[in-house]
Amino acid sequence: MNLVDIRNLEVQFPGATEPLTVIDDLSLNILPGEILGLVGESGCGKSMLARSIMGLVPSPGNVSKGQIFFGDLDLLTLDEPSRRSLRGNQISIILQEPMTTLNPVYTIGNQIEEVLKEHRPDMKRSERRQLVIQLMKQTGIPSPEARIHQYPHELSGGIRQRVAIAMALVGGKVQLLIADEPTTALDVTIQAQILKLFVELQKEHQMSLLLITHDLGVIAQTAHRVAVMYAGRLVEVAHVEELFDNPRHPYTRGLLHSLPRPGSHSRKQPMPSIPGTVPSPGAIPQGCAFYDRCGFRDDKQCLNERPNLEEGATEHWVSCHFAAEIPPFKVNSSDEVTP
Amino acid sequence: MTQVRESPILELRNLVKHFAMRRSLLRRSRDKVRAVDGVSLQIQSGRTTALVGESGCGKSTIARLILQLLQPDSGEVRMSGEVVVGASKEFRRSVQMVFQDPFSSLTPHLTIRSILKEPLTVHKVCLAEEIQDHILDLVSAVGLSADMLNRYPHQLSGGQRQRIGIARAIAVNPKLIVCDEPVSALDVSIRSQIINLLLDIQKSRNLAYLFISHDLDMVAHVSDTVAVMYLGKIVEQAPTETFFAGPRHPYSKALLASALIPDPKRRSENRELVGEMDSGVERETGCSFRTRCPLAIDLCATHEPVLHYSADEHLTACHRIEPV
Amino acid sequence: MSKKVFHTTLKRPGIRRWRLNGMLIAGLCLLLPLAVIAVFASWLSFLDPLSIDASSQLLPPSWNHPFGTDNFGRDVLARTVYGAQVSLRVGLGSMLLTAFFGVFFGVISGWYRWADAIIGRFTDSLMIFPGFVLAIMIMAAIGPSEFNVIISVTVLYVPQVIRTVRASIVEFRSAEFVDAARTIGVGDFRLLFVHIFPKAAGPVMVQLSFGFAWAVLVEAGLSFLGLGTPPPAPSWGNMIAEARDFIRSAWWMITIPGGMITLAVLGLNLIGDGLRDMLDPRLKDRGVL
Repeated sequence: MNLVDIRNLEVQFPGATEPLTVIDDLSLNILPGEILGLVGESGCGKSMLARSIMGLVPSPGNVSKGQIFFGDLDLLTLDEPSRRSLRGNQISIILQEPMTTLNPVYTIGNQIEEVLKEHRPDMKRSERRQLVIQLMKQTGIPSPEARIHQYPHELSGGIRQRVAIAMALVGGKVQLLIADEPTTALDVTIQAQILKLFVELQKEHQMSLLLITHDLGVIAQTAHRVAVMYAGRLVEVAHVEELFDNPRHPYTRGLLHSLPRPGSHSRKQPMPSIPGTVPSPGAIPQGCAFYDRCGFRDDKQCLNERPNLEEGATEHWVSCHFAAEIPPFKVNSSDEVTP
Repeated sequence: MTQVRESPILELRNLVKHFAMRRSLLRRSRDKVRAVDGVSLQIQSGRTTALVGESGCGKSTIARLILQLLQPDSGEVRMSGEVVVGASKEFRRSVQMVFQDPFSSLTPHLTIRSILKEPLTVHKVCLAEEIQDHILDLVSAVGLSADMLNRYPHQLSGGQRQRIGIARAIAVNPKLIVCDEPVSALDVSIRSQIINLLLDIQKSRNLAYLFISHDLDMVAHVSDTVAVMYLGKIVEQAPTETFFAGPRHPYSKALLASALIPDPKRRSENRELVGEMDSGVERETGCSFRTRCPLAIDLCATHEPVLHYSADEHLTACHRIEPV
Repeated sequence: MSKKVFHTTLKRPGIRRWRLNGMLIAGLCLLLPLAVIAVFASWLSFLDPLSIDASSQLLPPSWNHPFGTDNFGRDVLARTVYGAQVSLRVGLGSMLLTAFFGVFFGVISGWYRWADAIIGRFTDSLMIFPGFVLAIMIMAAIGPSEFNVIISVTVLYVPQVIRTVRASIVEFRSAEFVDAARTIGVGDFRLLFVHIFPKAAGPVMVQLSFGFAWAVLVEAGLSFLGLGTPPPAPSWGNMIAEARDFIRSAWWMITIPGGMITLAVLGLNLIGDGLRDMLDPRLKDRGVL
């Protein structure tokens, strides 16, 4: 049974001449109690996917096709009040920069309490305070009794992100937590702390975590399963170890090759890289979206025919015409990257 | 072991820069952020010195001090042995910078052509009639085509913009380029392209880089020397291979341990460093890392450690490391 | 393979992205005919606005005098058209001067901290007084004339432009592209006028079009009080002042110049609003991912 089942999702924005497709026929499921990593570069549609699940696609964009099931509910046909009652209650989101979600003129204690009031109107004020402090303790905020009186700008980035997490968990019944680049704005040492917190909370609350990031290191260290997006399409889905050991899609392989790994590249020598740039929506090649940058392409199939996401090995889905023929992956066999 | 050294192209001597903190409109607080607090560093010509640290450690302030966008409270910047006071044209020709965010560092209402023309006309690099040819040489040197020239920065992708930023920096044939997180604002698949370009240009033009970054893997790949900063001070400095073979300062160790290895089989459970970096507001005594340090002893609270030389030009500022 | 150039249609900053909007068009429709007639008045064979004709006093609108005549028998149409010339001269003159001084002092004040203290206090002290009262004071001191009206409007409006320009300069003073230009070695002057000021040009234009409307009003007000353009010159303010005694008997004497003031000010304000809407950064991202 899936917790979330996204079927043939398409999100479009009005363009100058024709609509621009930012999410293109995407199907993906999230299992209960798993950490699903969603990797992709800026503009690939990964944040838009999160917003689609939340029902917060920014205007003038709209979901033009597809279904998103949350349990038995189709989120896309749900009316706004029931959607709102899901948001923050069973589905929560955490953004890259918590400063954008926190209100600068209220103390953080007040803000967490405010969310709590929405969910538990029957609670007494003193009980609420207690619960807020308890939540803050749970998210690892040091000396919460003092911190509740502080304003967001008085806190460091790491603590702010912990506050955002506390707010996301306030409902107490969260089943799906979406974290959109939650550690990108943080320092390395703080990033490690926050990721650890995510993993702990995910286990403790037995929720599913959709972890959106561009950083393969974050994925490797936390995710159970990985989905790779490129130019609005899903190109590869697999278990985390399978994906890093045996990436089948040329884009995934390019990403893994171009990571600087200590000791793996000879110092100061050219690093393997994916040539070219990500196509913008509206300029995506007709066949495979990765056609322009791919080292394995052929001029017939890849140019004209869009590859489908197909299951090759068990639970390893790839959308590439040559998924089966591409040789096994070796770190630093850089020859395949430059066409 | 003594090594015969070239004289450094750029040298920082005991550089200090404090910022006053404003508490209220009427009362100026006496608290100071010690952004850069006695930093000495030598940059050798044709080589890459990496400056590593977390945000707020003062690494960007150092870049601004070197570029003379800020004046130090004390200490000096020396260029080929001579003290730099303010920015002469000659200094600007020798030292250039590549900025972190390639969008905000290009004047948005100028075309790429005008942006690249600026350094050429300001420094009269070439005759007026050669300017167009020179601009063409520059864009091809950074791997772009001439049809970019009539566009505006917002019409370029992040990677293309950063290439223009690099082209602008090399336009005046500098000897040193300060690269302030040159790839951290770029997409993963573009980063290695830009790093390759930087390495390529370094080789062909014999450039020195001061490579400011928080990405240790990247630093390991591009640099010859690594300096680690914590709260305005350099806490460890060593040749790159020596450093990555065995970092000594507890902070460097923690940094390396916090780096997320892109390999799910090597998940580290206990990589976490407790606490967060202080704000850098004035403290009286002792080692600024001691509040987070797993090795801290009483001495660390009372005496500030200074950088000690040991073998292999490996410098460390820590009481808990045996001096060699 | 179909490739469309995508980013060029999006995110065009500032002026390059202008599309005419309704308010701007309406404002221009109101104002352009007025301006054209005023500028070419001498070629359009209007009557002499100053020639007195005792035989045709206070005539209502007719074929010979479409807007009627005043108490001296002067043609109101001719006086209105030449009055538009006065308004145009005062508005243009004062706004040109305002633009020059406003940009100059605004840039200096935004860039040099020491100058900011001096210029800031100066603009503050000017803005303490209600504008029109100060205009009366200045005119009383330097005497009524069209040129002096221009001077006093300029003195009153310059602080506003200084503030706008200063705010933009301060905003971009520490922008990364400014630092980048400095590291290249671009001098202060070029930095200010090539790299920074163009970012402020839009808001200043908006402000100048509002200032123009205000200048028309101030000129009319001062003339009405006898402190502006001295009679018998045909200024809209003068015409209204002279019509005071004839409101009941000759409605056209007061409604025509009054209506013209309303139309001109409305037109200028529409243009200002239109420009502002097009430049508003919040609207810039309309329809952008």
